[in-house]
Amino acid sequence: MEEMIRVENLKKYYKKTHAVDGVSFSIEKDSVFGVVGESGSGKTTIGKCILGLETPTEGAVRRRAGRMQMIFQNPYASFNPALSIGTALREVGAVHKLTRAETQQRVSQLLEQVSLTDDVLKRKPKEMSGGQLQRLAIVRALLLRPEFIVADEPVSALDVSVQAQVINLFADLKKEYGLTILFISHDLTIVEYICDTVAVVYRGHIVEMGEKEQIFGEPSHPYTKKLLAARPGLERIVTKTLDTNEAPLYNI
Amino acid sequence: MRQYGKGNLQGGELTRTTNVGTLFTPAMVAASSILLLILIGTIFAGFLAPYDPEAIDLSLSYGPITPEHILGTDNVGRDSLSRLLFGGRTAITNAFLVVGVTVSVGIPLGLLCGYYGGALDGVIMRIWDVILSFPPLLLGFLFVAMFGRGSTASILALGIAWIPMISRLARNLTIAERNKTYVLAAKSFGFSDARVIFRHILPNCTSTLLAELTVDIGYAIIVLASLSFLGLGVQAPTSDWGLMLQESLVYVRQSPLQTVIPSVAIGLMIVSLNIVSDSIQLYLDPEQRKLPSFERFLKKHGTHS
Repeated sequence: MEEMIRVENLKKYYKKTHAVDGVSFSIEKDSVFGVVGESGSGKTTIGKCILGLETPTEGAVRRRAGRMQMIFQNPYASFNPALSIGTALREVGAVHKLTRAETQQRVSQLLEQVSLTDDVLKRKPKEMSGGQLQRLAIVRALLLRPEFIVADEPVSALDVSVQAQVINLFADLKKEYGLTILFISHDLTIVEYICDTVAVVYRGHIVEMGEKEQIFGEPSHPYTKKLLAARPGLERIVTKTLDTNEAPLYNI
Repeated sequence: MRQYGKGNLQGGELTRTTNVGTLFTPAMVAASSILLLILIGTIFAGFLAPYDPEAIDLSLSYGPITPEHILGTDNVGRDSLSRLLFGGRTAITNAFLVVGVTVSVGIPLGLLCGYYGGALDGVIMRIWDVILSFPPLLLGFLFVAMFGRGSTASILALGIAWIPMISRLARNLTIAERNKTYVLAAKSFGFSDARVIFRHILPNCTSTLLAELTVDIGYAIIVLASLSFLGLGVQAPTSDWGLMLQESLVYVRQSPLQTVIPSVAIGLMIVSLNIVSDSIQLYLDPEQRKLPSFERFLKKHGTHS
């Protein structure tokens, strides 16, 4: 397997807070790498450091990827409220020297893939539903044909019924565009569904890392065991309809 | 092809409707109509004014209200209506120039300070502190003393005096915006700082800045009129509201009407501008927008008659 991202002893301190404190891992090409942990554990900071949106205090990130993009937790916050969707998408194309026609063609193609139509382009972000807007965030991220995507809690701000749709979309687009994804989440069920490799983060450290089957099957670290025990397992059944079109996908 | 959720936007339940109340309250409509009338009157002063505002006719000095001179004439027999219209043009143009100076320097610097922070922010904000310690009128005197009388000096002085206020507002708004996710998203797409600041942050600050600028135009008119009144601003024989007030005050016993005319014009303009600005602010602030009417307020808290 080819290695795409390699993180070596990454540290990021904000004054006295050690957000990330010596983290090392590597992400293989065409895989989904999951980072799980509770809020404040440093998951997002790892993602930002990989993309270069934050400068690490210590350590290094080696990237063998071409373009990289990020998808954010709250779609309403990640779109500029003053600009229409169309303006926001075209701007990305224009800044990266795509012609208008090229951008338009890519946008239309991607919109179709995420089950939206061209008339969303005239709208402002606040006129969209959360699920629609997150799909548009995916369109915006894929517009530049990235090889690597950091998805920072991409579904946790969405309704449970919409979460599965967006997760399925991720899974399908990953196959189609050969994406490598760093998937940050606190939702173990989703991580188990979509990720290949999982790292469990606690207070800026990776406490356990391994194949999905190993982490979820035979966790070795007490924190991982605790996390798994704490997840709302029995009440929340993931039905087998997860990859079909039927709703509801989760039953509570 | 797999469907990832509803793509149809016609369905009402999918579209978020935001109920933001109305901007067009009776007060706002009245105030903006007055402003519109004043603006039309001053912009088309050349067509609307019945006489040359500077044509002297000593035989008509302190003329009463007649069909020929609707607002009478002043001490040297100039038509007051014509002078009012052209005077408004001078006053409003100068006020806009003041705000223009303020905006073109204050807003970009405020945005930069807010976005980058650090030493740049510290130095510029301290400079603003120094400017703020001068009352605008005093700064006006200073400039007139340095550059001589006339509208240029007073416009510059007031423009500079108001830079700190708008600049600070822009800075504080930028600080509130710069940590929002959409700014991070814009950076993650490799947008330049200039693009992020002026194309993404600025549009989200404009409504608040606009409310502030509306009030500033009103203040600019007052202070410019004050400078003219003191003989430091616009010089005779140009028509100007402040200057009209000063000239007529000397002869207030002979013709009080001539003092009333520019005063009413300035008053109407300022009050209207303030109402417009307040309405914009109320409209932008969802907390205040829901205030009950006065009658309901009395009913709720009991009347002491």
